[in-house]
Amino acid sequence: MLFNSIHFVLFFPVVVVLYFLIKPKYRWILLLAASYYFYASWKLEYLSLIIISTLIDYVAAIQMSKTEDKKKRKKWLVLSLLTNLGILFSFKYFNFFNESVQQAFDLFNVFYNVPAFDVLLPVGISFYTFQTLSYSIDVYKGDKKAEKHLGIFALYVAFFPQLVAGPIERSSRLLPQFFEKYKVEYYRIADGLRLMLWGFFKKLVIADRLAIYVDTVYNNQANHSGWTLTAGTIFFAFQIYCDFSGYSDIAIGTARVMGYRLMDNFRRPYFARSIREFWQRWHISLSSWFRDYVYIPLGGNRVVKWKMYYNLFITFLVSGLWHGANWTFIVWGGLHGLYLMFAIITAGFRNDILRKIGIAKDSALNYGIDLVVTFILAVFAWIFFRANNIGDAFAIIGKIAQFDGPLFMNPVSQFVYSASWILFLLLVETKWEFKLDKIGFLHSNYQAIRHLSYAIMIILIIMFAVFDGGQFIYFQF
Amino acid sequence: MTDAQHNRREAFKIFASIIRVLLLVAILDFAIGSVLDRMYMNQKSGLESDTTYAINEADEDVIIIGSSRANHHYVPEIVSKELGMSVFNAGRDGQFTFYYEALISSILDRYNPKLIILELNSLELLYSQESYDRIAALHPYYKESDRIKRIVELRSPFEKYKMYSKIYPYNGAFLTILQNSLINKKSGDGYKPIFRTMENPEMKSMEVKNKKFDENQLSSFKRIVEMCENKVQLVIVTSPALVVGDDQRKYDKLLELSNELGVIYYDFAYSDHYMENLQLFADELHLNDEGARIFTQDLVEKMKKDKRIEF
Repeated sequence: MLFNSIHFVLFFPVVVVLYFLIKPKYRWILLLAASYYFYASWKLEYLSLIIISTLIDYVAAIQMSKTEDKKKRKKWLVLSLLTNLGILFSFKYFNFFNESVQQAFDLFNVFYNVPAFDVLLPVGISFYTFQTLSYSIDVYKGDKKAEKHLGIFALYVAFFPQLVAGPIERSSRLLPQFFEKYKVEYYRIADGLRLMLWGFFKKLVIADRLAIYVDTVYNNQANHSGWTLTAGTIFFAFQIYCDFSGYSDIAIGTARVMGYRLMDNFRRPYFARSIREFWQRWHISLSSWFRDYVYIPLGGNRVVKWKMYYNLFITFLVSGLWHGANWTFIVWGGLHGLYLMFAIITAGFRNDILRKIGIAKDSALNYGIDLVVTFILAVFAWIFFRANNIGDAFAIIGKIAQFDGPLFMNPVSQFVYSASWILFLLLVETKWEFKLDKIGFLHSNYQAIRHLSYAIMIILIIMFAVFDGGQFIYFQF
Repeated sequence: MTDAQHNRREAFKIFASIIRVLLLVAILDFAIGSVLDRMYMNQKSGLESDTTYAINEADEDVIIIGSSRANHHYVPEIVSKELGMSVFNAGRDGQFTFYYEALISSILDRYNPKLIILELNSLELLYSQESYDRIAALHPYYKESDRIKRIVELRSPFEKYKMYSKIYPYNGAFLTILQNSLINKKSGDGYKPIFRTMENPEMKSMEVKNKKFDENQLSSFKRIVEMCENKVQLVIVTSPALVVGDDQRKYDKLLELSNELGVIYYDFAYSDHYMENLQLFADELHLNDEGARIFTQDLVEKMKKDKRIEF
């Protein structure tokens, strides 16, 4: 089920009303049933994958908690890792590796013919796999006690607001919340609904509107000029941000209405002053997952310098691969790894330059330069993320580097809408970033202004949303 | 206060707030929707204004209907001169059979033209989500007739509920409406020429082998033929194109349907004349102005010679 579907508009109020009508100790049953229905309405058969992951991890965690023997605990952890990563590999990466091996063998004229695995990628598989993996690892390390209630644990794996595209929650945060008895609270529900409204606005009005231009340009890059591809790439930077952060806002808002507090997933990433900060603001639940379960176990930064760079680079390569079984994502991840390595290596040198030319580190000018440079680096990397293949990505970069040709604006209205909504988003986020609280619309202290703002937001959605825009980009991961 | 009392009080506050917001939405929707409706119907130029004209006002002897290929390929001035009749080109970019049915039914509800030329290609009748998305062009005319209502509701079972909003029919159209209301560039006879020549023209192949014909579109086509029977002379035409499907049987569908329904059908798609003069194309699907004039002349000559057509 998609958040941006009539199906969800009918499903959600029914779940919420029933949720508050039934006794708190039985709510997990409703939420689990709703979550499985939410997933099964996309493809019933794939629900079995979630159930397998749930059962294996439940049993593995219980077994790990029963023994102090490290070897036995490790066996159960390995079982959990192999099952989850095995499913993920089979459905998401097998064909990619198979094709890559075939291409490599072809280079040496070696016969290799393993047939492709002809299946549909299960929606959200990377998200729920990582969520349940973190639980097994935490229990293994002793950071978390095994959850004995199978129903509650199943709900932790499948909780519908964040099941298919995160935020990837940690068991220590989310599991205890399922035992809380949440009452109906006006301010909390209003807060959740407001966040959902803003999420829908970002997805339907901004992301899907930008997608029209971006898809036209990127799916036919050979026929477009450097300027058009530059505009298309900048538009994509905002499209993917609004698409994914819009989803996260709807997910967080949906959970909030029922009382649950999911972690923030985005904090205005295009206001970041460095790539490091960008990753503290972009897909926070995933970047912190990779930090805790890949980067730090590899040794993190408490190792010799070259090893730290290696750890950093590997973590970002894996992060790229997490996004998709395509070289474009791996290059995208690798680029971010390189950016960070370069930033660390040149930090002293860059500070010296600033000092020499007399720009204070905390000056507005330096802030502006940092902001623009970070944005350009992030946008450059998005070219690989969005391009249909590596060849297209390099062709696009080649054209952009020429800075010429006409700017495609057919129809003009589509371009004007896209540019206007980006401007609108930046104005709103500037207000939030710099806490310009004097102007309050959605968050005004006056109820009348708040209500009018909600109504205007809904009217803008009816007026400008793309209702045939389809699913969220991150569903494919 | 007990939990139950607390919950009831808070739920009431939420319910009251939601009602207030929905009321405001309804008021704004009505006010803004009414303004948009007025602006839309009074547009001075653009595709939308041509559609409104065709549905509500057109009284020409010959009406040309179809997609962008109709809009850019048929020159009313030539048809008018050769046949001595008034002509309007109601072709519209990116449209499919559903739109043609809506237009023809609305026109026939008002008067019977002498001739309707319907530009169509068999491959248009294959299933595509786009053909349903494009029905949105009919949203502003939803209340005009039951037939248009039925066509619009093909988009989704929820479409009729969305139509309670007065703004929704104009979704995404605000800037276009504004632009068309301010700029008066009415084309007059509906024809929109393309003045460019395709670079490196060549035949393009289209994968249709695994595609199926859309039952809704086939029914829509049959209804068009039925509607025109005994009321107006209908001529189906496939104009030249540089796209060929990889399954000839699919391509022959229109010929098969026309024979079955006894309707006149001319296929110019791969006529040698055009295949040997590729500079007449603006892109693989469209002729340029020069090509359109030659094609229109060819079509009129063919119609004049056809004894089945009474002018």
